Amino acid sequence: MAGGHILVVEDNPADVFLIRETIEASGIKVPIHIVKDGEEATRFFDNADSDDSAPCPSLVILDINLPKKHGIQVLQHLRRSHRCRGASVIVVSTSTAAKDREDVILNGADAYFCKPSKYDDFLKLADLIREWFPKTTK
Amino acid sequence: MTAQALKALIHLRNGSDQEGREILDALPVALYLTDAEGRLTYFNAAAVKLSGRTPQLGVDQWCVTWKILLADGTPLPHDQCPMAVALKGGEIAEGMEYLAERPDGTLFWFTPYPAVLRDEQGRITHGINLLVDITSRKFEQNQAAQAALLLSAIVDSSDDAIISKDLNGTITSWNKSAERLFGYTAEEIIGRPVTLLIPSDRQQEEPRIIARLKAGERVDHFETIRRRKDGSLLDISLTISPVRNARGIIIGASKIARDITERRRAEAEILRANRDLEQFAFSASHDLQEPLRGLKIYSELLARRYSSKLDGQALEFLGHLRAGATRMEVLVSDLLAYTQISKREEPEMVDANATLTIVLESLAGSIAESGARIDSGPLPVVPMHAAHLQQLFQNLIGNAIKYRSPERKPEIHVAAESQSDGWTIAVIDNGIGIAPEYKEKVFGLFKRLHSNEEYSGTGIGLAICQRIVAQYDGRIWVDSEPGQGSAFRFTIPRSRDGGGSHSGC
Repeated sequence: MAGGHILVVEDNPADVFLIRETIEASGIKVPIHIVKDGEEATRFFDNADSDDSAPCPSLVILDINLPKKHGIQVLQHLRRSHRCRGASVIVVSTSTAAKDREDVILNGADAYFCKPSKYDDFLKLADLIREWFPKTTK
Repeated sequence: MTAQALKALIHLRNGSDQEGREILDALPVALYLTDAEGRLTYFNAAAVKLSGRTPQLGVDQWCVTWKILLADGTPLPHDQCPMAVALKGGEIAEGMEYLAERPDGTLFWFTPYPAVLRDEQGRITHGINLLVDITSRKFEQNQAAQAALLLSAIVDSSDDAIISKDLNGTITSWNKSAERLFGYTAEEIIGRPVTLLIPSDRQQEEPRIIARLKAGERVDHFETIRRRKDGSLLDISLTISPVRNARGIIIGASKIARDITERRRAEAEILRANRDLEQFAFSASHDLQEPLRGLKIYSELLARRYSSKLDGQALEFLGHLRAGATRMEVLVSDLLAYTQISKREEPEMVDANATLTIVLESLAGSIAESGARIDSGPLPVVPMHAAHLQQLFQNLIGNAIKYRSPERKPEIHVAAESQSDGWTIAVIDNGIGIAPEYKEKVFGLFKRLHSNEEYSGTGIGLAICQRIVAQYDGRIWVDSEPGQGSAFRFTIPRSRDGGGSHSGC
């Protein structure tokens, strides 16, 4: 399918709601898919590979502490997918540790966003979304 | 005593020779004579003195003494006393030692020298006995024997292995605990080299120990590893002292070895438990942040988007909710900071003057707001992680500003004092001070002296300071005059090699 899609991999509904608001705030109007654990995420990429009509995301917003499969595994799976490997990935996490940030960048994430505890700070994720959403498919 | 001499003595005694009689009476040795039946015919003054009684001539038989005991304390029947035996034709072994009791109950030791005199037909005509007082010699012997017995009882009953060796390192004694600890019996090991007990990678310890002993030095609580007979290793603490002979020359060493395997195990256990606890506190505070973030951000959204739809009390409740969430956020992040203090890497040398400047910059807001005046003397370069020193200054100066007196502007003085083993750094303020009963408590985790309305805080700041200082083997304390101000002081040792005082051995 042409045109961009955004895949949100996030198990916490509270954060899903906030991420939806930031996507809206970014002004990017594309279909948004939500999956709630790591296995659902890898299945999403496998479906895209096996079915050309299935959606393939241009941008993935990926939580790192996920049920069933860790975010890093999801990231590695994505980078091996035929159709979806080129997607931009913004990792969203609670961790402020430099090591965690390094880990996800080394595993192929494009950006790292530390989830803040103030609404206005959370909205800054919109800047990253605008920055990393592929311009050609906008 | 030859028969000749005896005869001479008896003649002396029987003769009318006054001078001879006086000589016998004046002899310093107890002496008495008997007839063939053993009835006393003469005793001298020394005999009265020794036996403690005046015998009746012609009545008392065999002995001058009141009661005789054998060396083991069993009473000897009177007719078996040495003189009786001799008069009955028996033999008394030379140098026998007897114990006797005087009528007043006191005891004395003596060696008897009984002899008999015979006529031409070989019939016994007289008996003579000399009693030599050996009490003082026996007493000394006893003293020495008792001291030796006591010492060996102590050595034998000690839980510590007690070993002695000569200066060649040959084992010369070995107590029961040494047998238990090392597995060798005394018979097996005495005469063998002490290096038998030393693991091969520690053999160099022995020449060093010997060198120190030869110099007359004692080796105290040297913690090392030794090898048992079965080859297994054990942690021990050794105290080794030179042993000198009567002329003061060092001839060997005594070695006390204490099994510290159990202590080592307990120490490792505590260390592990502490690490687990740290890990737990870290995980807990880390994981608490996540739900807290949701609580905070949604209470904020509620306030932003639905304030107009809420009545006064609902808004008040929401305010409490948000304040609680914010307070908990600070608590959790402080707790996280507390668990992350560790000195796993070797500290760098950090210039405390530069660190203070950085801290004062970050406190610029509250300094300006409170009108605080802060000055400092010259500060040292200390072996610490910069972040740790920064946190110490931040918390101590931050507290000095926070707990200021409502009556005056805060004046804060930072100073350092050099000591032989390190530095004492002080942060002195003119704030509200701390009552004496809280001087220790303020360093405890979550210990707060004020309500949140009076002074906000989590009660972790000083606990963090305490923990940082402890990491460097220093200490922190406060001196305070309530209402006048507080002086927080902490020490940072020059060298952090605190436990290595035995490295020479």
